[in-house]
Amino acid sequence: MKEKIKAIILENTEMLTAEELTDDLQLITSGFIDSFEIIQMIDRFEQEFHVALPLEDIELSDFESVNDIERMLLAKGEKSA
Amino acid sequence: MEQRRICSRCAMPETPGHITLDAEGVCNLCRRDENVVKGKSASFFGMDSERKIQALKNKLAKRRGGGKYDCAVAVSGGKDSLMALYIAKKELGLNPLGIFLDNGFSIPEMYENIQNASDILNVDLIMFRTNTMKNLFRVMLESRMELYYCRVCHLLLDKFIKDICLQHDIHLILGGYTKGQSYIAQDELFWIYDLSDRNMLTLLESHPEFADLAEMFRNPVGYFAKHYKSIEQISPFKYFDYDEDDIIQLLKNELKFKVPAYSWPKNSTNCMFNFLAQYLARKQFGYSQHETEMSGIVRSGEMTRECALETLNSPITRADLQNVLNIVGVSEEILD
Ligand SMILES: [Zn+2]
Repeated sequence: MKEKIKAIILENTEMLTAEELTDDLQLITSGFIDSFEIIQMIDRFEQEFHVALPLEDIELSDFESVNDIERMLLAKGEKSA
Repeated sequence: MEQRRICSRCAMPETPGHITLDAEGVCNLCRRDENVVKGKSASFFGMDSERKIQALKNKLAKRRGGGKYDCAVAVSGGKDSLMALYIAKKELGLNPLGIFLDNGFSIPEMYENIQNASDILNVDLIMFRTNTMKNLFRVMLESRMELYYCRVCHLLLDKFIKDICLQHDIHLILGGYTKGQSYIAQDELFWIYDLSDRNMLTLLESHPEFADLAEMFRNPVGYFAKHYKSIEQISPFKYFDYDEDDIIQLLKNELKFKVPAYSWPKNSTNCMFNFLAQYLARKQFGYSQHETEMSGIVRSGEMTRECALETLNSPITRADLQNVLNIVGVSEEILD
């Protein structure tokens, strides 16, 4: 799952290489990714992981690291299952 | 206003529930930063400048729209936005559209600065003056609710600018955020934004003339994501390293830039309403974005604490406040 998340992040940012993108890298506060890029990734996360992520409920803190994104996606997945 | 204790390292005032000072007089934000620096992880800001500029160029190529302009630059007439316009045209070789959104409180030097920049750089410019802000501010002031005026204004400006971008098929906005602002997470302002947004929603319920704005205050991030999904806003200062003094010198030399004679804090390029916005923010919340920005710059070692405090102590007189209230058309009783 983490590898899929990383692939989506790398598709959407110019700032990181696969080596630099570690599981706990701070994506937003360290300036690698901004809120616009997060929003662009939402559709991809929805398709890839079959969850609904309505834009009006977005909390940017859920996207701070690969670990955070995984945790959020798992929580959403359980809710809809 | 009663004297409040100020952090002994930065310029944050003690604010119950939000900014606490420890036994050494150091605030929780300075302590938090101490810990972050110790556990320093990789950061975009530490990357070499060539790679940063390449990243920016890739972004530009990706976001080029189908219209005449490569990007928009929202210009206020202040140094940061004019520098962004300069970078777009001169350093990046783009054809930017300057968008000047006048909230009705622009100071005279701003108009002059913008026209000079547009002429000298040979950049097209849209000047849009709105009365929405004035009308909304009147309703807000009369309500006497806890509202953060700069927050409301910035959201509205953002919306207007993005509407103009959509009309011109522009998908990239170069914004003039400075070092202390925006791209560095400023959690210490979030509670003020949340409280102000909630109060705005309550207020707008009884003002159907502004009903179309309610959705924006319900969840600003979601609102912009939903309605302006194709428009990316980036700060060129994230990619280029500039010294504050160098910027002013360059703008003075090349764009005939003038520093305003009358603004708050002194030598800033903020609009006239800022006198009142700052006065009310301090009274209602304890501090504003000015304290947090300056404190961030002090913490990063780029400004002395004394210099920050001197700037933040720029006076706000009763006459300054009356002046703004006159423009809005509200009686000064609301100050009591
Ligand atoms: Zn401090």
